[in-house]
Amino acid sequence: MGIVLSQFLSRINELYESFSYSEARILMVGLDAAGKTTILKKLKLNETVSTIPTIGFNVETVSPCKGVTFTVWDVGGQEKLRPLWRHFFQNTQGLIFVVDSSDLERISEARQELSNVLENPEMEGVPVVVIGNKQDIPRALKAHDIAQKLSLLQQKANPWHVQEACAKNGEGIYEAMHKLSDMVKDFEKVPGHTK
Amino acid sequence: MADNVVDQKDIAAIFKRLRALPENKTCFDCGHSNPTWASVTYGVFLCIDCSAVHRSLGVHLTFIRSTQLDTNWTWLQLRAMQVGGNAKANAFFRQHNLSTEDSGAKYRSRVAEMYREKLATLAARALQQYGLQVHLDGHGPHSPNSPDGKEHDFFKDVENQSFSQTVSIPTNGKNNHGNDDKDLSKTMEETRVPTIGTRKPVAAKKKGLGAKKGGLGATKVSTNFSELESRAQQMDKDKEKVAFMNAREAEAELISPNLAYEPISFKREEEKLRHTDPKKAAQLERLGMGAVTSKRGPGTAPSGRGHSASASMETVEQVKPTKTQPSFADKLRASSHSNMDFFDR
Repeated sequence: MGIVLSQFLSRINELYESFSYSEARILMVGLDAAGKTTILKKLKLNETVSTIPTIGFNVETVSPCKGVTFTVWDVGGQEKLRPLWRHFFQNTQGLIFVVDSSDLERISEARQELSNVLENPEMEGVPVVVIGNKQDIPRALKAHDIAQKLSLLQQKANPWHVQEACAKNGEGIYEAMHKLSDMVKDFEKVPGHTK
Repeated sequence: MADNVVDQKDIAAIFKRLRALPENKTCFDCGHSNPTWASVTYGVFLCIDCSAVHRSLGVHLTFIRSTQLDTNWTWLQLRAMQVGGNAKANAFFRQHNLSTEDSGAKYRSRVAEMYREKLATLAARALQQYGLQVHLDGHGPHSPNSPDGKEHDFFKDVENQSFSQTVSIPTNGKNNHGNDDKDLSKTMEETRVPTIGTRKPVAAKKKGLGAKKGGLGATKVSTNFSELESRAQQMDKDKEKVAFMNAREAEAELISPNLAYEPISFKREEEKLRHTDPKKAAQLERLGMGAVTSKRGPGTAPSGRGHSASASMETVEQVKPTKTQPSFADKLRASSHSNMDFFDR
């Protein structure tokens, strides 16, 4: 009787945990003109807005799926703004790295910037979702190409996922958020990480 | 080469110069002033709002960089900006009857594609030709190959003028002297319009006549004089250039052309003046308008050495309006006076 009750209680507890899971602090970075702000506005307003280059950062609280609230920090990707990214690393529970899939020339630059971010001790173990944006443009890189070109296959310290997307029509954005929320949950369960 | 890291100072110097051009002071798409963003693909300067539109079109159509926030410009991209510019793109688009305001249609058009390809070719060629030299015209303080560039520009300038006419001036008689000058000045005006800086008339106003103008208070006369004077100054400078050439040819053994040219050309002028019209020279000296070369300090820059629009603008500012200098403006004035029998009275 007691065993059944305790099992029932633990089940309830699990359910409660999965629903009550409240907030996560998410950092969104990537090269300039990758589409970070457009993704953020799409998540927030479900609208495609025309954005100007971000000088500084944007922050929005979004709830892309049930029971999940993300505070997404979107920091400008211009070169002089990239050194500022590290100031947002503290207590980050998830990283969204946006790449312009159509920009083949700068994919190696993106790789360098991503590895710079992940090398930081504060980003240890933080789950990474790479959004391969602008899939509507012909000859855009596909998810496996992006994973390869960003050297993610060798990436062991951080769990990662690559999602093809198009921020203009919203394709793939919510899938990416779902995946990220799952990964963040897993990350939170890991004992010993510094929150 | 294109992937080489470009020095920050070089990037800053290039953009300082490019953004100082009047054509690049307004946004290519909307005309907003002081654009700080650039489309490398078209070599044009844009405001932040128009750069947003460009960014939304995709990098295959137009690649946007910031002239302030981006620091890893490649040489090829910088060359594209240097060989491009708002004026050239505008001219090309107008020439091909592309006048649409819609950015999407504009940059997806065949004309835009043609210009993209053209600019890419030009930029690649410029990169090959100039290597890592900072400024394409060779006037930059950092440019290692500047003498070559200068020489090239110099001869181009000289080519535009009627050489024999300028040289023959001193041998002409007193009576047709003034007329000759006027004719020459007309031809100068026609041929040398692009090389004249827009700031020249302003600089000219600063000279000698400024005080007189205020005293007279006659606007019509003052405008005439400034026009006349600026024309005369141009000519003066052109003549100095020729004199500089002659001096260089004659005094080939001298090491510093700067030092060699200065006294020689001025002494020559004085001598010519004395030779052709001793009376006038004496009058000029009496009136304090004579050529006193010794008063020209080493600080006074040789005004005839500017070979481009920007360089000549600089030198115009540096020249001190000393009345002791035998400028053509003075001569022109003197000759017109003598025509009116002013001195003979």
